[in-house]
Amino acid sequence: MVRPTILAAVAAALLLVIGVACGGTSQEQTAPAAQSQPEQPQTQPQEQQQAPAAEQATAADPPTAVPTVIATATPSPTNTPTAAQETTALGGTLRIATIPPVQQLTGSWLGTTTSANTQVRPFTDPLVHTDRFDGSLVPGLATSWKANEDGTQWTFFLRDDVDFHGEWGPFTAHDVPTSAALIIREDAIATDTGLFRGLFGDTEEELLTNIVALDDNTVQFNLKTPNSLMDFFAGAQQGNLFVYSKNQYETDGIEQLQENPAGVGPWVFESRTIDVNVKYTRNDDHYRRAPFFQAMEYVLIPEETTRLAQLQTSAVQIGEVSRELHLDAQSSGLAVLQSELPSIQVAFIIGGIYNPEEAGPCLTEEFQNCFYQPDEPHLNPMVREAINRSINRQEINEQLFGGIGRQHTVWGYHPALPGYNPRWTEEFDEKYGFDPEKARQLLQESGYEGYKLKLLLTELPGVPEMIPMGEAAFTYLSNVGIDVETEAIKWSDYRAKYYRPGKTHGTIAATRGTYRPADITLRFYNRSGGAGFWRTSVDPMTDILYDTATQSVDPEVKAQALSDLGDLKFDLYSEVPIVWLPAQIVVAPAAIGEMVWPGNINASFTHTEYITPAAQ
Amino acid sequence: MAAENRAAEARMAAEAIDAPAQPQSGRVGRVWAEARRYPLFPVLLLLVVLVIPAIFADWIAPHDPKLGTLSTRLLPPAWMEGGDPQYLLGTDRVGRDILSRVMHGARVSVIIAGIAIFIAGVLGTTLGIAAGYWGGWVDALVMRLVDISLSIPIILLALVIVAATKPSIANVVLVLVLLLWSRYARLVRGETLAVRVQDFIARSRVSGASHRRIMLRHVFPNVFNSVIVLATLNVGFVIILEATLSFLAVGIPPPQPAWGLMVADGRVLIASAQGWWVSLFPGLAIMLVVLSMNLLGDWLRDRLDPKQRQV
Amino acid sequence: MQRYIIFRVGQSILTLLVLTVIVFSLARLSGDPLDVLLPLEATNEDAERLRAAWGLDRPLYVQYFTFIGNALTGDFGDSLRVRGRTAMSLVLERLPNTAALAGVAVIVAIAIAVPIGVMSAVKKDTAFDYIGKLIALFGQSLPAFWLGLMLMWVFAAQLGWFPVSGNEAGPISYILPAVAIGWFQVAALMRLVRSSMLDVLDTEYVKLARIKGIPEWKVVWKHCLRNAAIAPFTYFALIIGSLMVGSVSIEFVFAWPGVGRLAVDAAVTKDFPVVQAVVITFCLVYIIANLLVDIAYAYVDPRIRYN
Repeated sequence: MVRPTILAAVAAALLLVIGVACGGTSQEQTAPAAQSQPEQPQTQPQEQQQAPAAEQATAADPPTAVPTVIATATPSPTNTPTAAQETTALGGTLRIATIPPVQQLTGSWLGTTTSANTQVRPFTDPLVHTDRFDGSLVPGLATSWKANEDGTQWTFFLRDDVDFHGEWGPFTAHDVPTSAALIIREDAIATDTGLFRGLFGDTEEELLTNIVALDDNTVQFNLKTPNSLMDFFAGAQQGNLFVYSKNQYETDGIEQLQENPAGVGPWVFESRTIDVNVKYTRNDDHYRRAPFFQAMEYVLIPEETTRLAQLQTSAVQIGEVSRELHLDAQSSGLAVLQSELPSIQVAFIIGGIYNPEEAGPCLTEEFQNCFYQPDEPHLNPMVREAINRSINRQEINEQLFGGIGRQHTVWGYHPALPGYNPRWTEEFDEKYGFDPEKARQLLQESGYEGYKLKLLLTELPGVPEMIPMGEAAFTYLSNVGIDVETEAIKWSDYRAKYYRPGKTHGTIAATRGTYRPADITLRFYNRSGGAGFWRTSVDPMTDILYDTATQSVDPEVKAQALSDLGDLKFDLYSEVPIVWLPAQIVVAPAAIGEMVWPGNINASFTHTEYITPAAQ
Repeated sequence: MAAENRAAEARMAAEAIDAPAQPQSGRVGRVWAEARRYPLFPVLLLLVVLVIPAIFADWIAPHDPKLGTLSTRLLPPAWMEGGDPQYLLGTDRVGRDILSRVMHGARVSVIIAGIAIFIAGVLGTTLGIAAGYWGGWVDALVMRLVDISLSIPIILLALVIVAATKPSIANVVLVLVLLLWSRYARLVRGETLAVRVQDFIARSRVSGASHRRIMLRHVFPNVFNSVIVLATLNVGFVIILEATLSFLAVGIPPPQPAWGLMVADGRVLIASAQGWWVSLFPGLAIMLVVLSMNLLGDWLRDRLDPKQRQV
Repeated sequence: MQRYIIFRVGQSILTLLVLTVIVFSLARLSGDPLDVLLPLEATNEDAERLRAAWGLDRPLYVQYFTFIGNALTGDFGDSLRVRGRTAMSLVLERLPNTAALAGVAVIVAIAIAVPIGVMSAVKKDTAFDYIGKLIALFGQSLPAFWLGLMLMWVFAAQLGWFPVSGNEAGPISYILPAVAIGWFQVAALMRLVRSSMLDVLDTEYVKLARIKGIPEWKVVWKHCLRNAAIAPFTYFALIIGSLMVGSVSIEFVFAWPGVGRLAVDAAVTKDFPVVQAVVITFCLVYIIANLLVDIAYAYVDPRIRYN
């Protein structure tokens, strides 16, 4: 593995005063040394589907299927789960190095859907499972489900052969209302808390009248307002509704439920040490897939270099490592695994295109007269176009993202999801293409030449490039004559000081979103009324279109409304879409055989039960 | 706390006057002694790495320290394969010239260290002299403040201050002042106690000098040397602390070219063949400056204040 | 003597009380924990509900007195970031890790600083003095995280002599982080040892020992060092302080489950109860340690009891 002489020399040098200067040369020598590792990542045929960088400019890679609306799904033969498949190769402990999540939880009601998916999903299941290849909704605890015509009543038909871990007995439909009620607890901070309160009521009593077990294997959700995505929220990649044992909750109370939660998942929760690790053991008897490994452990490590070193020393088999270190990882015999789904959308949000006080006309009407900051340059579409044209997306993609990015035309929309208009792909270069000359000219014409812009440098988990991207934008925007001032700011402070109180005028900030039906993303960005939401660009027209899309269970109506909404955003340059990215992680091919990873945000590990150890 | 000063002071009083220099042995020793008389090496280093760039960065830096292009991202130093002679020490993650940033960073370091140490020094010295001279409740109050300041974990304080406002040079200076003033106050108070009991103070009091005059004219000159030595030794500490604050993202905000920020920013690539130079060169600059400052401080101390014990 | 101790304890309690006010108000100044902890999709309504559930909507003075009242019984409230855990349980879980690491770091620092300090005092102004000083200063001239990352990369990632991170591999996992933290203290300690050695070497007592014909090594290492070793203890407070500065970043680099990291995470997420618990604990440790040092001093040296 190592060349002892060189390294000993390095070690000695480090002890000497000026030895530090040798750091550079020694690294260069060791990197090729590691390259002579025998195993090349041959074992992962699935993940290496990254297209050559040159092809990136065209449309995105469409997943074969999509989380769609109405589904009266019946299990397809391939998905028919046979209880407790016997496993061929059983590995030891699967160790995954990740950044310590802000929210370390066992209760799905205590954090974002991403946190819950990573930490809760190993030990318990949502009602609806997701396909690990294409992200589509497939039967899990629910074998099938249906919605009524106006989307106010959803019924899920459940399996009858599932047991909770430990002594907590069989899983029945009665566990579902109890689990849903957890999401609206007084102290709940789940992504879906607000949504569930809106759909089913603010109190546990009210919710329990709306979510009812019809019998042991049927549960019915009665919604106060129609919603076309209940099956998505009832599971999928991004829901908070995980199944907890009503029995345990009533016997042990909420503390014990958090301390030692029983679930129905492929792994059994064992223990956790805050900021150190989370441990699970194999559930030998899982209805869908008993894991190939005996145990699983998340090892929580804050520093990039430390996580990479853990992988290099085989202390962990899978790790979240920033893209900048992927070449180093590969040259030491590790493989970079790409998610099956597009996963992350990256954009800059132009601030000030809404009225926080009252939802007056904003994006569409005469922009000068209707805003709380009448001199806001960003209300002028020409300025927004100028910003869009000053950014060199191709350079960002190639230099910062190693060319893995795919075209992103409208914030919130992906070609594989309902509501996408192919026109955006065709016209993108013409309307959004990199053209500093045009940008300068547009600014001149609009009268905002050299206006003061505040560029907020901030970062969200999953895209460490957000800061360098912001710093690059500093150069791009300065180059077209905008007077840019930067402010480095933590996301939470950005939220507190800028968008929550509605003070984003005159700013621009990078953001990232996930891969999910457009209306879920747009609820937060383009719908007025949600005090506390970001509301990047809002007006009565977008509100109407959004409501139509969300409430309609007719796929065509929904798609049309979404498409119209997207047209508005596209033609009026409401945001600065940059790129769609797959999530990436680093795996040790020497230890991992097959791993298919749908991906969400980088560290959102799901479907870990399907990961196989390398053949010996 | 208070007692430990008293202890040191009592020890000082009990000790003999200056210790005569140890007899030097051998020719090598004499050469070293000669070299030590004037710290040429550290001074030269400081000039090259810190002072000249700090003054002339605008003229000698080859590129704008804040602007970079992604197409020149992470270029290795010029002498390496793939290097560009335009960028002698390579470029960082946003394509900015590292040499230019190191040069401009020298200015930021000088400004921060200078202002922070000056304010902390003035504040600490004033309070220290007052406490030592007046004694009584003034002393008690100042020493309680010193206690409080020493028992607050400074990193936490920095995080909270920055969270309450936003990262800025002013905040870094504020944190440093809050951290450093108590060291000066402690030191000066101890020295003042020792000076106060001496005969000449009593004599000038008898001859009608005001307290203020005595403090300014007689006490201050006697503690000044110690303060200068401590200030010199503190420069290194300040630069290191700036880096630590940047590591925790509460230091100087990007895209300012500050050494600590550059090191902290490049640490992801610290062991990477793709960009070890990003953090190495500012790191070297920090190391050289801190080393020279400490050598200079040690030399000054031997010259001016051989009795001082400071951490 | 008793009066002196009572006086000092009284002073310490006062200090602590002032600190609680400072910490409490600083924590509130730093912003709203809900902005960190709430999902992006949360509305202002959600925020209000949680504020009420967590008691953050009450007037500040009410919150303060509740905090003081509960703190007296050792209850610092529930952590906001890690739901279902009390702030104090998190701190107590971590404290031993930090204390042990700091202890090893101090041992490392002493192990390097004392020989260098003693030798450079004995061989003052020789090449040895100079080189010794450089080695000592080197540790102080790099940010601890830089040194830590380099140590980890060379000795753990490449050579594999030590575990990369964490403390689960037993005593061996202490070495790299302790060196990275301890080295920073070497220069300061070395200076103290050196200057107090210079003092002691010059005393009548040592001259007498030399005249008596006691071998030089014994004079230096036994008689002098024993006396010179007292001085560094008086600087305990400053050393603890700067130990904290270094250990925070090292705890991040080595994924060490210590209080420093907990404190930073708590400050970043505005987890007030944990911030308060950490600061009060840290101050208590500091104050008690200082008290002990002072009292020990008062016993040893009656002259300082004059107050």
